[in-house]
Amino acid sequence: MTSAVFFKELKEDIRQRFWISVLILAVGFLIMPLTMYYSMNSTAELVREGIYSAKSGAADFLRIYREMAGTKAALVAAASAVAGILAAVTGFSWLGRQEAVDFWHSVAIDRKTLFLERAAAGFFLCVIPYLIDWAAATFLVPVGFGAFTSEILRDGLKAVLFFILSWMAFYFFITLGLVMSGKTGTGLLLGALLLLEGPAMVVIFSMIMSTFFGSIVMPEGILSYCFSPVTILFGEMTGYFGEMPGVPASQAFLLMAGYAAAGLILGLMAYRFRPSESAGCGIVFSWTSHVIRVAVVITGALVLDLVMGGDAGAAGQVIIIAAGAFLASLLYELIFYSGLRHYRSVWKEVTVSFAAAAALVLLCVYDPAGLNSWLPAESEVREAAVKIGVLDNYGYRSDSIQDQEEVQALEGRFTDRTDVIAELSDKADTGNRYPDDDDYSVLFGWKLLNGRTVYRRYAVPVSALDEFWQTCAGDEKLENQYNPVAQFDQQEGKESCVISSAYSGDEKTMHLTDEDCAELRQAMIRDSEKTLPSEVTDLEASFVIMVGNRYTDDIDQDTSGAYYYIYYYIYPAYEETLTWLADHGYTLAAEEGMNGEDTGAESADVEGGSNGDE
Amino acid sequence: MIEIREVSKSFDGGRTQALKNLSMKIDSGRVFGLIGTNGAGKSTLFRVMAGVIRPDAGNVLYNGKALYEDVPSAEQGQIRPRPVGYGIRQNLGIRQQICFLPDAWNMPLSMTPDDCAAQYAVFYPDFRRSRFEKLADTFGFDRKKPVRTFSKGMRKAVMIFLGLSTRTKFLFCDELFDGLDAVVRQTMKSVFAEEMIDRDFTPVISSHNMRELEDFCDHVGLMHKGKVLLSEDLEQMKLNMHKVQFVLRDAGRLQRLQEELDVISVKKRGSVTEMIARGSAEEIMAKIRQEDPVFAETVPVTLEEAFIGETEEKGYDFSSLF
Repeated sequence: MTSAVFFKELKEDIRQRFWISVLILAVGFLIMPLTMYYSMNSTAELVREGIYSAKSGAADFLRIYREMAGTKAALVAAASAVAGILAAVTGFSWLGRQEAVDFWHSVAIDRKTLFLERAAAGFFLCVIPYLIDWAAATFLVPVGFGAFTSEILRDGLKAVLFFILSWMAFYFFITLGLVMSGKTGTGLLLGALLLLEGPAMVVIFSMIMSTFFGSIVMPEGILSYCFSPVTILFGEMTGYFGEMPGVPASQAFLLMAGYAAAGLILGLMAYRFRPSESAGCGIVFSWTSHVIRVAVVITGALVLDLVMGGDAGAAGQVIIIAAGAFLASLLYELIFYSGLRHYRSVWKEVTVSFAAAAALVLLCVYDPAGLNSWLPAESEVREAAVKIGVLDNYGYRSDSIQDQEEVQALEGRFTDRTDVIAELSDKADTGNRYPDDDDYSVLFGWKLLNGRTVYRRYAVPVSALDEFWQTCAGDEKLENQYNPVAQFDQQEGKESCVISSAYSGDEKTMHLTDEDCAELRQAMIRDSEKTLPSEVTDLEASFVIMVGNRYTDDIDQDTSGAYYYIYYYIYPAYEETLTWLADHGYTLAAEEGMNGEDTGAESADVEGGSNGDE
Repeated sequence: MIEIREVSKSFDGGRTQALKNLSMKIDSGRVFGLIGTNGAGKSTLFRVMAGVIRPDAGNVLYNGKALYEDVPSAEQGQIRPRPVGYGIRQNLGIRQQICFLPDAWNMPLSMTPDDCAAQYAVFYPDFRRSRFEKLADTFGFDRKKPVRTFSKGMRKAVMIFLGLSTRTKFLFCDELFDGLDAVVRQTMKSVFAEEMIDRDFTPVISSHNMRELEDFCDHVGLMHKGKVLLSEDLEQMKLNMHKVQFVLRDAGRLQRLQEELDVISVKKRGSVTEMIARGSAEEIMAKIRQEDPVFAETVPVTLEEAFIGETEEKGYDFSSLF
């Protein structure tokens, strides 16, 4: 009887919610095959006209596919999340109405079967139309342009798996939220909180560390540890995780599958145990109400303190925490219980939560464990490095001193190595990771004998460093990094520096050696120092130089997997630069198009590619 | 037969006791009316009987089979309370024999009556589409229009038609006549009667209005604050109770009558006295005739009057119940 009812209800459910499939089919068609057609058509034209080589065209076709239907398709990613939420809401929002619960829980179907039927119906309603659009985008459009390759197919299959898993993760987590709450609105809110619990915890942790333990250097890419379907989906789309150590892209699939499975199991269990009479209640399971209330109150207290605590002393922080706890608890009652009638009975929980938050903050403030001031013992250190950097209007520039003798020379200026740190940390504003002008950050790194590497960073005013700084600041490289044009230095060590002018489609390519790069850079520096962009009035000729590094002659060919494009706006007043280019056979035609607003500031846009280890 | 055995149910962490150790029997093939004020526990009882809400203790048996299978030894009468939220295992075969119609419309308003019929047909294998269409067409409902365009009474009627078309053995209707006009109400009663003649059908109907159930139910149960105060066959209840209207020549005769008869209530409207007393009609009329009345006649006892008698005999003040 159960399987017969399952299939009959599945058919009826799909019939009733078929509009979801129509919607997804239409939207998917717009964002996948249709948009892909127009983009690939443009590329095909560029190839036909000889602007792109066949190889470049193929690379561009692959890029277009990835961004429209493949693993980098941000719109498809967003659509898969929205489809999951839609399927969950249309499948289970009835849990908030007692009359609907009366029907579904009185008919002859057990809860497990009903839950799985809804999941199956949602799957067919959402995934089938997506697959139809995906098939058109993968097999029809590229084939039509002669661009279908095995790479496109591989990327497409990866994308299908990933987006289906994402749909499942969003579907099951929103369902879990709806099951745990007796109202659709609060159920969606709960589901969203469950989806974002990872990033929320990491953000709060990061805020605590930066506020109270500014000297402790957080791992690079800390946000990449925010495991949640939202951040994994986001990370995949932006390539964030591919560049960060927290979650390698290859593990994103496993994580998303894990989330989907966890959501399914938790959602099914919660639904099976859900009392029917809870329709209309804010939180269904009373024990979760306590847990969520405590979490909300602690979070509210901490966030308010982190935002407003600032220079407040211990007493001030306690008051702010109390205010945060009180406000968060009120908000919780109003959102989940639509009133304050329970408030008097939950004062114990609120008090405990406030005490926990206050204790945590005071522990951080007073740092009894000495985390912020901890330093390795000299006997434990194998080698040390110092990196001094300044954050100013032109970006972050830094210099590393890794030569042990130099480091020791710096440290040895004081009688004891720890005096350097002590002196610096006394003057440091460790709560400020982004100091004002004239402040510098000093990063110490110690490789210990046990193999660990420990970092501590301090923000120190120049005046405190005094002579100590002069040794480093005198470094020519650091000085030259004053001008963003100095990012030419990134080209050092590469085989060639390629310059192309791609403005208005007039592209010329020339290759420069390292020495040529350095000469050109110096010319541009001198020109930029002489003439401020805002004073440019002569716009007879202006163009853009695009600088990239390649290991081959063809700027468009990405064979290394590593490339940079740096755009410099060169104005007619840049006489030295223009003269140098002309002397090297690069005469640029005068073009119209750029006006004062466009060229209000000299800019250097860096477009980085992959770093080759994907 | 439906047997409700010592069912208890509380909400809000035990703060609201909706059902208190309630026991009752409902015979098959008869119309059972459940009467009680708002908050008496009628809807909760229906939900427990339909398997929607799991009781804290007790069980519901249908022809001897327990609806809640995870309450052990129910057939032996050993009932043990379970914590709320405990896994719900029910006899799906029994659920197929039950159709529960709550007092408000229970499906999405965007659905049409035909859509609703298709949905019901999934879960009730004996659902008669033709029967539903005939009933809807008879009452003039457009089956292709979404229910949101229907009035409250029309939605109620559609729900009743759906319930009847499921051809389940038991149909639970919470506030059956609420929202129906007098004509539709009468017609519904006829439809129900037809169903009962046609097959094994036991409707259980709740209301807070006794007059609605009076000429419809065979058996009535009175609920108050989670308990059943009485559960009686209506005819049996009225059998030994009669109402007489008479006019006596002087007050002294009335006093004698009150001493000689088992009087439940006496009302005077001018010179006319209306008396309800226990006993056979012949005995009561004989006693009255002895007092040489100007005139005397028996009139039907209403359900309300019958309840008054029964509840007061049990020590309750009926006026405080309603």
